Amino acid sequence: MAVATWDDVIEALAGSARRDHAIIKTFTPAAGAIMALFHMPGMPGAPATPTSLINGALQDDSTSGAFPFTNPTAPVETYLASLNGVANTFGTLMVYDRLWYNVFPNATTTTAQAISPSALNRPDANGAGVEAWFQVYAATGSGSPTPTIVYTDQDGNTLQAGTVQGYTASSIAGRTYPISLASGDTGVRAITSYTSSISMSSGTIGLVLRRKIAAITATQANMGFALDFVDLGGPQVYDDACIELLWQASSTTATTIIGGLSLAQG
Amino acid sequence: MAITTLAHVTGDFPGQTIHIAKTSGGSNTGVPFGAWVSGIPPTGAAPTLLNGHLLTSATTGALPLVDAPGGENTYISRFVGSLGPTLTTTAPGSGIIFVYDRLWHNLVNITAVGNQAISMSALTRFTTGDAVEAWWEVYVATGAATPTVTLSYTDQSGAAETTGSSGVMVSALSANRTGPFQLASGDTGVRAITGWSASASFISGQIGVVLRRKLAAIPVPGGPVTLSASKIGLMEVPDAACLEIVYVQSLPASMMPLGTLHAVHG
Repeated sequence: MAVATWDDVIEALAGSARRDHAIIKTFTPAAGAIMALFHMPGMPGAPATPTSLINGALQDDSTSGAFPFTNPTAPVETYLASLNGVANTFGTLMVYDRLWYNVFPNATTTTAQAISPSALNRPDANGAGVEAWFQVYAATGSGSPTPTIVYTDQDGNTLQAGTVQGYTASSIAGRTYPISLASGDTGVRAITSYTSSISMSSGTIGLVLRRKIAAITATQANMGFALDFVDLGGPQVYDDACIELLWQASSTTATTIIGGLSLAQG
Repeated sequence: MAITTLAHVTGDFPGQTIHIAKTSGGSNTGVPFGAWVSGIPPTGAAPTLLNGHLLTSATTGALPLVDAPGGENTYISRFVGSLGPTLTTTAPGSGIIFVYDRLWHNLVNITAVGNQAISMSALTRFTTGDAVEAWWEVYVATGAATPTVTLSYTDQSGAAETTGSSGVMVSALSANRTGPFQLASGDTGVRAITGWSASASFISGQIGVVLRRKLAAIPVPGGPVTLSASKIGLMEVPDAACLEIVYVQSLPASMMPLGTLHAVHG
């Protein structure tokens, strides 16, 4: 079963399995930066900033900081049915399923750091469409390396090389950077190694595997946005998904996002 | 019984029509204003008790919602209106209008520093507190002070928390300014407020806590807007809900949420 008609949409929106969540996030971005809001204060409340977890951990909707929901009984599926809000700066709001993350205890190591992650469990173990990101947990120092990863791609090919895109020295906490993949790759099944070409001098960093659910553009500051099931493209939210938000900022102005999202099942 | 088809929604049109003409009198951009104590429907009263007041559709100031007949539910199904100028301005308005169920509010001692214990009656709607937001709200402009308020509360799971935070408050907040509290790690709602602790005196004015649950978000890009059932989200409204308006404006002038909210039963 899937939502296929307008009547299905209406039934899902009005259904008792619908789950609504408030979004309140406050943060100060770097201009043009993509900020991960998972650890930013607000609602859901921010989890503690991690300090060390090299082999990482799988994430799900029970993870502190996520938007919890109850899985439906097959063949019923869960969808992102609406996303609304307002921000006092303009930017792009992205909704992701946070699959896995890790943390390196410091950002000064320049040798390869091996990672032995658990296999992904959502939406399958293949990694198709899964993006690899570099994450700053505590502000980094003045070193300006080109960080790289070794990963297994969506087809199971090992020892693929990826590069962090646009890393900027002295990155603020919360900033996150996409990682480019090897030729022809469309996803990441597992990250097995991380190397920084030179020391970042200080800071706490890590890697995240996430899969995009939706994205919307808030084109003007203080101008509200509200997208429904159709506007969002009817995105499916897989069982146990750890929903998180990213924000591509337009300025360094302290930003508050107030809004909400709805999950409907049908 | 619940709404299951688009025809079911349109068949009940226009449903209840609730006319709204509210203003806070505030002119700040990019910050939320509450419209509880203004306009049409009749002006609501500011709270008077530290332990607060539970609010219903019968409370003066609530939008006049009629409960669904037995066995049926009420859904917000449409909005037509604008964030228009008051008589003192001519520019078209823009921003966002939120429709909330205002569940409970109180008034704290404005000059007290340190914890003020609060013993509130249990919520009668959204009783677990899931997705219930805690906000501060100003009823009489505050003095030249910038305290931080730490909120003690019971979260959506029944756990006691002591780390809700207002962040540093802006000096001399104008009447009807309102803002959300940041919650403790992983929290997605508030079941009860148990304490308010200001780091410094507000010197003068009136302020308190509001517990509210979001029901709809209406972006207003400039000029009048019409939102249909899917776009406005078709959220179920519990019996006796105390509907209120909170809005954010993008122009530095006194604006007025103005329009008609429709609700259908099914």
